[in-house]
Amino acid sequence: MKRLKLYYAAVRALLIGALATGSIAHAQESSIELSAEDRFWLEAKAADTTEAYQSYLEAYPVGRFASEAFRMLVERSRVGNVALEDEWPEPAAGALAAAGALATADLY
Amino acid sequence: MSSMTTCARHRRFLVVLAAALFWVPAQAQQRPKVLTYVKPAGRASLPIDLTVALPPDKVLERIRSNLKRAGLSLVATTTSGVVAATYSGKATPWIDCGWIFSFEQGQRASPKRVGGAAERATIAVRRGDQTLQLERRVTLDGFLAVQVEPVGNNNTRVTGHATYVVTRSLSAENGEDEQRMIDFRSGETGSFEKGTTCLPTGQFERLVIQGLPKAP
Repeated sequence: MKRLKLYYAAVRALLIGALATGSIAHAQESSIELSAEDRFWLEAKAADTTEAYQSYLEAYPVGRFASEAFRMLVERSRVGNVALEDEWPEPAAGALAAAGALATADLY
Repeated sequence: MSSMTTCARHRRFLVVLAAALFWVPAQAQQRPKVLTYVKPAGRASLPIDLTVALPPDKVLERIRSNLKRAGLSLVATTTSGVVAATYSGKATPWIDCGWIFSFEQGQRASPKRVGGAAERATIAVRRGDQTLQLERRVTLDGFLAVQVEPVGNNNTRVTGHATYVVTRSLSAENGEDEQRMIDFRSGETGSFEKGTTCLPTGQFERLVIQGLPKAP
């Protein structure tokens, strides 16, 4: 009889636990419902292209992620310039002594 | 015997101390600081928040006209009651990044003063015992977003802010170059890793509200 009671208590505890976990999971699912703007932004981030960020800015110029979208746009345009600068000629042998100057100099 | 050893130890300690005291100022004299930076004195301008004695459509029209006249590019947006524009070019007078003082002619000569937001400047930096000429460039990309909404009797509330993206490029004589970027919004400041701090002067924000009659 005592053993039966113990079994009953264990099964009950398991059931309560399962129900509680289920309701929490359900609550979490409902709380992360995304807005149209959030979805647009996540898609733009996933695409990670100039066009995607531009589209976000046009759709949500005062949106939550507008500043970040603009920064991404600028970064992409500057990356293009850096790529061009990479084609600069190699430094002359005499100038090699000064290599690393930018990394160690007191710059402002 | 023991007092002799202690005395010798004291003497050696004093000799080392004297040498250190002489050595430190000598080193400091040999290597004077070539650059000194002074942060911007003012405060970051605040986001736009103003109530105007005009209806929203008139306010939007005036804001668009102000921005176009200043050379900004309007962003094609379908969101009603919103104006957005971008800017790309010189950083002055839109932001203040303080001043860089360069003592190229020595500490006693008057220093060369370069604006931290200057479009292009050549400054001397030190690496070990070498002094190198660096070309420093600063550009600004700005994004301005403004929203208008009707308030009360024929008045309009104008709110908005600007996003500032500052790019600083440095090129050394040996072809080495470095590009860094910071961003901040109206009311905020931004700092590069090795120094320069920038803040908005409020010129972008003023452009928006130029000529708009403030509601009583």
